[in-house]
Amino acid sequence: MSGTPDFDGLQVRALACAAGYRTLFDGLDLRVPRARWMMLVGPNGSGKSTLLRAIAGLARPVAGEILWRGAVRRPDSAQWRADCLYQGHASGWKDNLEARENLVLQAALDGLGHDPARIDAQLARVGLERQAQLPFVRLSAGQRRRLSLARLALSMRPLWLLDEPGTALDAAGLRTLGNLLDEHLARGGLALVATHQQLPCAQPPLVLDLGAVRS
Amino acid sequence: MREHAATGAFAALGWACRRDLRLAMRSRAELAVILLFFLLVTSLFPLAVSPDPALLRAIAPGIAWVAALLASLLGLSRLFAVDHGDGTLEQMVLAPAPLQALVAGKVLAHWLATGVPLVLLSPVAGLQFGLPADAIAVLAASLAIGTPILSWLGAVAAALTLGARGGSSLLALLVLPLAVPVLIFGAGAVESFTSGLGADAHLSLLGAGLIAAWVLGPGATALAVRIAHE
Repeated sequence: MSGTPDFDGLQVRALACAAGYRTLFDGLDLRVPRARWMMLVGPNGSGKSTLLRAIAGLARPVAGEILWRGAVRRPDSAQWRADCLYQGHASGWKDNLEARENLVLQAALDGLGHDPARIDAQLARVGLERQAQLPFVRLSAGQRRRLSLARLALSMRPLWLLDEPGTALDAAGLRTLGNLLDEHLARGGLALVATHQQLPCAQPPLVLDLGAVRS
Repeated sequence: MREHAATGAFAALGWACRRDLRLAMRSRAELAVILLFFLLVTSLFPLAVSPDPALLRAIAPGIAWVAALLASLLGLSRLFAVDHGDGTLEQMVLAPAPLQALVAGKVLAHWLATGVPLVLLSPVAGLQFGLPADAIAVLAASLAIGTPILSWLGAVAAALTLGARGGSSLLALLVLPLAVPVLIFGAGAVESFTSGLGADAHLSLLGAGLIAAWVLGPGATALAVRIAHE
């Protein structure tokens, strides 16, 4: 139940979140050590997205605490925001900007220096080299997801919070996602992934079923 | 396109400003609508009030200022709402860069894209009403100092109304009463100049308002954006 103070990973203690007046979950505990990933499953509306948003600092939990590397994480601390990468339902990309422009801007916001060669390499890796100059609005649903994969590929942040990253991806796209996740874990990173599909990742996930902890 | 890491305050301000100017250039039609709206509103008054040149000259500064205020309201509701809708705003909230600097960059870009063209267009409105050249210069100066204050008032209101139903009409109700002092000193500057009293006092007060807006605006807007994400 209670966590060790020097636990080097992500830990959630007795967390409760609500949507309006409806309690989504109560007394939720979870631990993700470094180099592991946790798969969040559960029926629609069970609070997977809310849990990810609460951990990222975009939703205020009703009760409980969130610990990062043994200390209560403050959502407004610069260190937390440099450690955590959140990719939610909303794409986070501008319709009017080209795919590459979008990625360059997001990389700068993520605190990465200007490195055109890396940007182009990651765009090629996710299979968007021919779409790099297209406005985001003209990409297909799967290609839009692939642009988010390129952001993950550029990121060196230790904690990934991913909400349905595999939606609309084809088999090759899912393999790329699995490979990115494996590389991330091999670097000592950890990830919390809300998903309805099995991801082709070599490392077996810890599984948390929010449908079961629902109070 | 080159972009360096946007982690410090000034880098973040520059990042947000360049990004929003780039987006504004991609949707130039929206900017043209704002400017046409300004010219149309000023052109309606001679038709509605009276074609008497002396009367029009007397009310010209007020008309130009009211038209500028209404025109600047047009674009404000989209200042944060579009970024809120596509999820780019939540990425800014989560970014390591200070949110105050990011919203300041957005407001600066909004003013450069809509406020500056209004300032440049104001002599046209002044000529329509037969204002003398030096009075037109005072009008443009008062708009140049006053429109950034309007942008900041609007930014706070736009952030507060994020996610609210009917956000853009609510925004107008919030901003218009707060804009009254800006309107009084802005239009008053031209009137006191033409009456021979000089515009210095009015312009100084507007300048004080501008400084206050830049000091208080970033923190208030960032706070309102954070509240919308909790």
